[in-house]
Amino acid sequence: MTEVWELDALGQADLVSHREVSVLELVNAAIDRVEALNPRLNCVATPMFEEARKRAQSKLPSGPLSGVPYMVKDLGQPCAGVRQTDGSRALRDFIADHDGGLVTRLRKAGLVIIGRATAPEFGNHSTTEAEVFGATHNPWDMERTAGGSSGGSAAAVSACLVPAASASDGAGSIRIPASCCGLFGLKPTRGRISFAPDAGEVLSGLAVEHAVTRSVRDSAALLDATSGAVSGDPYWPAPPAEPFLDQAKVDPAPMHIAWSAKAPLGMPVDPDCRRAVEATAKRLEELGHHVVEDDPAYDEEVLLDPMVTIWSVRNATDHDVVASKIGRAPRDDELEITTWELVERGRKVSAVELVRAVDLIHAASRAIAPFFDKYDAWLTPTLAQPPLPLGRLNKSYGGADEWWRVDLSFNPWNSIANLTGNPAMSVPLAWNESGLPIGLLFTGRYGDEAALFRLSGQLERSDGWADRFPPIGSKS
Amino acid sequence: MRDAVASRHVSAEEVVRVALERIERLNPALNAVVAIRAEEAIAEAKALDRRKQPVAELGPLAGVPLLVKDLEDVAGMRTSQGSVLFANARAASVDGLVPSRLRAAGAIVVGKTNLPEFAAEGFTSNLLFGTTRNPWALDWSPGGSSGGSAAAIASGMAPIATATDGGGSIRIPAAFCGLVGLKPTNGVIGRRPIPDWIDLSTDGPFATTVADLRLLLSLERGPVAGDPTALPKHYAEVGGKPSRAFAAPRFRQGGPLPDDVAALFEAGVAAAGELLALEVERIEPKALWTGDNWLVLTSAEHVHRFGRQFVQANLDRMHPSARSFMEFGLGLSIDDYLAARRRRFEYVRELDELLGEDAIILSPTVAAAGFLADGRLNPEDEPGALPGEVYNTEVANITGHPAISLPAGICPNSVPFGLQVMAPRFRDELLLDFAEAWEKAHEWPRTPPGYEPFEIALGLK
Repeated sequence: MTEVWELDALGQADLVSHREVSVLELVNAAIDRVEALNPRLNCVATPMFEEARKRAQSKLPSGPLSGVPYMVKDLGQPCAGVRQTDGSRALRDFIADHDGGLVTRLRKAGLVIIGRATAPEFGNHSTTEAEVFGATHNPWDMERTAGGSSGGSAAAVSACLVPAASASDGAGSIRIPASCCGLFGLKPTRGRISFAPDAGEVLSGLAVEHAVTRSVRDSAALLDATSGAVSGDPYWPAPPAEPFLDQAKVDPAPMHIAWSAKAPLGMPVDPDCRRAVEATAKRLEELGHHVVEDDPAYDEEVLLDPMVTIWSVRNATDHDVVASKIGRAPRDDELEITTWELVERGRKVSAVELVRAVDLIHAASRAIAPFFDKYDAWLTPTLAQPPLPLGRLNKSYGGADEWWRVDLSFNPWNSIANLTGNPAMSVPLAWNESGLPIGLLFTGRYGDEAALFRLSGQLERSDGWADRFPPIGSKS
Repeated sequence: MRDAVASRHVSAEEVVRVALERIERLNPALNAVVAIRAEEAIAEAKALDRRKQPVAELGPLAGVPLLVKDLEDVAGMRTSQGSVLFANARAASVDGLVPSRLRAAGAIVVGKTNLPEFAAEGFTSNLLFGTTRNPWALDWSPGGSSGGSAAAIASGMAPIATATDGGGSIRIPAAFCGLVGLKPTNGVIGRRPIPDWIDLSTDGPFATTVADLRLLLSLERGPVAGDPTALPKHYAEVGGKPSRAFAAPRFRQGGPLPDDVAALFEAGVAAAGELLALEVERIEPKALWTGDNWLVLTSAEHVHRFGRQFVQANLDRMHPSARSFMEFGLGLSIDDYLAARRRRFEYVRELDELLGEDAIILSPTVAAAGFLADGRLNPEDEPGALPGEVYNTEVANITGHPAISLPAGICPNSVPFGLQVMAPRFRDELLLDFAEAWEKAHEWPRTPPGYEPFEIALGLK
């Protein structure tokens, strides 16, 4: 018998719309699973059970996702009246005073938010081991990282606490946890989901919000519900001709797909990840696509200093934002060592240097663009290694640049889609012999999430992963 | 020289200034010294000169300028390990054990010497400081990994310089620079901090004379808190004369020795036989061909020491030979490593049984007539890609046996040739006695033509 938590979001919403189950029952089932499994996973930063039960009993807006239990990432994405820590001890008592733009749209779609999911401090790491809450564990192997910075969301969805959860991505933070936790994680095109009203852009245009899900169609439905540029937005990708949900149901015509197992800057690639890409390339050929080994040509140094410059200035700014939120400067022990390293680095960056860094990112974007005129998608591993053991990625290596470089050795490809603004998805097509998920990254053409949904929908139908569950909380 | 300083014949400050001046003059061509410690050295020398203690209370190295291999810590200086990755590392706060013992004996650190990245090669060239050259023949390498120290002593920049040996790194530079160099039995000198290659590495001396070698060993030896297998303080070494001698051309699989090396090795074997009044027995010790045992142990331990993530993130900033060393280590499993650890015992048993109480084995220290300075055997090779069979030194690191390299002639390319002698474990004195006899019978030039040993420059005896 199928348990309700095995269903994806659209599946759970169907139960509600057919009156087979009430929203309150769905929400309580999710809360039960959180209470049973979160002590081990440690993926919930702040529960919102009372509020969720209240909302579950009220009249919810109708729509394909109405009534589904959901979680939001505890980084930005404020919920009125609820603690928002951004992964920081400095904000452990800070209560948000309004719903953010994404949260508003999620509530308008009828989703019921049952809690906020853990994230590393200021979203800085490819692992979710913030000192304020302690490490979030990967449901597939509790000694390993759930990825970051949307690791809490990924752990929650992977362990079926909720069928989907919000996430955000400035250098891979949707796709890395999706890969680590065997989930589908799409970073949409820059500007696809508006940052209104709180911001125009985040991280100089690198960052986008969206979600991690188990199914492709959930990601598509969520994007339909939350996307759309708004007056005053700095970026306006062309709106899609059709709903993304429709695209996920249709096989693509044969696509021109490039693939590569080579990481930028000569970073080594684990054989498991290399084998996964090679096998996927072969599979795409079998499905009728034109597949060729190729990668874009650009100055790979752009992934180092310019990115650290932007990231560190963001941290220096976050420091001041935190100070204004709590009415005083954060103490030494309220921010993590790696955050201080970024803050210090950021404070030394001049305005001219910051503009130069953005110029270099735009130059790289132009150098890469012709590659996507040639190809519909570019396949690489999402990560250079299977999910790493906990304790590796959240520590200081002596400075911001050193820390970034170590992160890059785990996460070399994802930043490329952030600096170009192209959409990119991690698809859970492989598991290694130890049972650890290996995600495959498809980077698409600017604005063309539709092509990515068609392709991932096809892969999900032919090589699905819906019957794979992590050991924790499984039926047997 | 210490006596000259002690008796106030010459001041420590003068001696230190001479060292600094010689480094300034000689180093540009050789690139042996990579960091200078001038101000602090002069201040220490002045403080020594002001001391009112009687001569007898000054340490045996009082006022003697000392260079330290940039793998070892000197308080207040950074330790680069010859790597771009550590170019901006924080300064050490505590001396390593041997630097601290030599300084406690009165030596004054004037600088640090070059090495290949991570000390993992038998030549001395890296991306941070460049290539060190052999004062005997500038196109050729002084060997490695203690090549900077060896080139500095051989050229007379300073009278003493530290060295370590995890795979030959005392003996190879000693061989190529015409020095006598001893890798003591592992455990004679305590370990602190823990070396990157935990059990295979040891500190040890090289010098231009056996008397200096003995003095340095006596100051360096001894246990230290934290080392579980160091020999106790009052362990009595037994010297004497070997009762049996073997000659082995190689300890790795490889063809016949190159002609130049073979000729000098034969001459060395004949001379040794004569000196010992023994028939030297020729052997081909296949059971001591250790294969990749050394590489498995050292690369796995080195990757672990830095951390996998750090290594993976920085492979592209490493010297090509350091990079392949680390890549090999990244590919190893715990089972690979433990199998190699257990195999060590087999090699120890082989050598213990062969050598018995007091036999020795002679071999060329290096089965090649020198390396080109950037780590090539032949001009057409890739820099840093030396074939494994040139090395005859790893066995003694794997097993812990003591091994000495003695100057035994000069190859046609002007690079000195070293004769390696191995003895049973804890019979270091046997090697030192033999070295003394060898030095008497076959006195060797203490510096290359055109250079002057440190003492003579000061007009001291």
